[in-house]
Amino acid sequence: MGKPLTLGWFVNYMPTGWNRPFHGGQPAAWQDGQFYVDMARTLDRAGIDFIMLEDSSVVPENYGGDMTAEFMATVKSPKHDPLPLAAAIAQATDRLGIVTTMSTSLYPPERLARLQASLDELSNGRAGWNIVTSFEDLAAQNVGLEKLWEHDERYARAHEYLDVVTSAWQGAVDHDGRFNQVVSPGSPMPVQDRPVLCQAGGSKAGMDFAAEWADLIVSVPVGVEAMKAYRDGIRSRIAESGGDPDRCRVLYMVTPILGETDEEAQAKRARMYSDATDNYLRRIVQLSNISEIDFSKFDEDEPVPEDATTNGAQSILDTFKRLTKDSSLREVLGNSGESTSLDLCGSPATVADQMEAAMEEVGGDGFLLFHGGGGIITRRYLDEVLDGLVPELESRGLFERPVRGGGPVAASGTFRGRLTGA
Amino acid sequence: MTGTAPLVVWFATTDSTARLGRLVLELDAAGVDAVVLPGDGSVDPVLLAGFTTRTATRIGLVASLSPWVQPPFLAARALNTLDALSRGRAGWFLDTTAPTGRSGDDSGRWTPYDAAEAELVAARADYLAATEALWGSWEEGAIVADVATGRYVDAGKVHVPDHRGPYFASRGPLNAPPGPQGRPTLLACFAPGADVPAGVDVLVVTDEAHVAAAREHTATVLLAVGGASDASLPATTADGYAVRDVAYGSDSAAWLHGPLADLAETPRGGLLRDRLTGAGAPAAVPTA
Repeated sequence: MGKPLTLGWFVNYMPTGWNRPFHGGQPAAWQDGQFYVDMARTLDRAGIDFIMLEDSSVVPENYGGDMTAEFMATVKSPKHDPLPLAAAIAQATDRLGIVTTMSTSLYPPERLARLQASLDELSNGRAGWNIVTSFEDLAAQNVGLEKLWEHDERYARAHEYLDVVTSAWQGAVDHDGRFNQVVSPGSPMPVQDRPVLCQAGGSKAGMDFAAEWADLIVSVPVGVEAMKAYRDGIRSRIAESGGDPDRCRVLYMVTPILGETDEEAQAKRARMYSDATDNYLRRIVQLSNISEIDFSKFDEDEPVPEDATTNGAQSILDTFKRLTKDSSLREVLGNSGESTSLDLCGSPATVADQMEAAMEEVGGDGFLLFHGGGGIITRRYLDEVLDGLVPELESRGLFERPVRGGGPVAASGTFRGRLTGA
Repeated sequence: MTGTAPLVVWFATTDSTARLGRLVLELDAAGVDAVVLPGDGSVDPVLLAGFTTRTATRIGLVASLSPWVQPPFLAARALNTLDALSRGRAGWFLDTTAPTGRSGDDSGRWTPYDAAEAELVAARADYLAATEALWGSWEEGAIVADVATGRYVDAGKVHVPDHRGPYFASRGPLNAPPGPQGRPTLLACFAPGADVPAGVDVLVVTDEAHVAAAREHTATVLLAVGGASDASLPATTADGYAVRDVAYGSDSAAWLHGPLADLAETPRGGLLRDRLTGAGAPAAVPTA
């Protein structure tokens, strides 16, 4: 192995586990942010490189045409604004990178530049921006637009938007472009040259965008082969434009399921991803949200009909026609978890072996841990990963816990500095 | 609420982020009811407020925000989250200064840059109506977390406001329940003849003669003090004082250890709106 792995944790400012084991008994307490501030402190202590706070701004109505199912599955809502929470986390931590998700389609660019610069100052150089373009028309309607632009136009607009934002971090802006017109004295200067830029582009336009702008890419190609192909694709894009491929780290989203033994972990996994629980509802609501197809229209105990059509994502509908051909929606979705890059399940040693083998094959650069969205995460899960798995990674030389000393600020440096090894 | 000390809201002057952070801690320890964080500082006031929620645990955290910097949905959402994060201490001081710079796109949405004052007043009212509609989009008690039925939120208690005003549109609902105050406490300046924002909780007057007129619009009126004057509180018929234009350092210390020293003896807490407007709000005590 070359550099040690970069480890991040992706989390939503949403309800914590409330109707599953070890829920903690305070189903509405997440709102004051204390769970997530405590979590950030715990990640900081464990030496995790960054926390990434997800964002979206809608209550979806895709499944069943109203909010009922969403408010049972809590896939996207309720959710608070991650930015004020990020500021509280900045106060409570010393070293942890703090990445916030903000949409280029929803924030005015000079406003976003200022908010990111603010978080960078409050955290003393530990801010990052997870660049998203949003896809829901309901999100557009919240900010006075009728609908969002098509996928490729959103990315074309995002390029111009990034020009404005990065200019504002350097000084005054006088921009008269194809999409945006901005005259601004600029935002306050960030502590880092600029906040760490993160992106999750999976499509061709998304990968082109990520290769041009991102310091950190979070992705979910499934399986070692796809992971390697994705990373190679990003690195060759960067090299083709004359850049150093090592300037960008590619992380893969995983949800390790851990037990004291492999058997325990497998039994836990079987309980978590079982159609005897609300797992099916979560998965079908999630799928409806991603595809904007109302899957409540189909019989969940039958295959998706061959002649079904949609105004949403036809490719997803076709995929599920194929997947459910000899079974049913409930069988296919109810007994599986969300898509992750590796199916990690076992004792900490077993899972660390899987992660090590994958990284040797892929070449790098780390993982993004995730156990959500709403209604899933518990303190117990955090402990299992941070006190069980992370020490195993450390003992294999895959992860370096930072040495503390010399005072928290002197020892920490900027987030960008740590990612680039500077 | 206990004690007879006057209400005090401190308008922080623009300063470095480190000094603003220290000021908030000192004001909290001194028992000041709320601090208004400037909108033109290095750090955004909502984020500075979020930063201090864990260390300044009693003081009201009021962000000075102009409507012209972002769509109403984003302001409503950020302030609502600040209320949740501060457990009911969030406030919004309505910054009515003219827009600075320009920012627009090809979407055709209204922008304030070339608008005359009358249009700005109308647009500001529309902006407030939009935020009000969003804060009202969840009824109290919407979170039920009922394990038996699997319902976390009662969907029947969340409504789509679909605000379509002459200047701003926002479908909603907010994607989170309201914070402990329902909506953040709204503060604004008052001048006779000028427009008063709907739903305002606290008005600040610069002249004792305007207190009575301001009272026609809201329950709580504060008299502005500070600036070049000595650290002393004039007698007033207002409910308390808005300390303005006092720099952090020896000037702020002169106030906190002088006429405001007694505040720390009777610390107040609870929801910001109750603290500033609630029944039993203490009468101002003139200091010689």
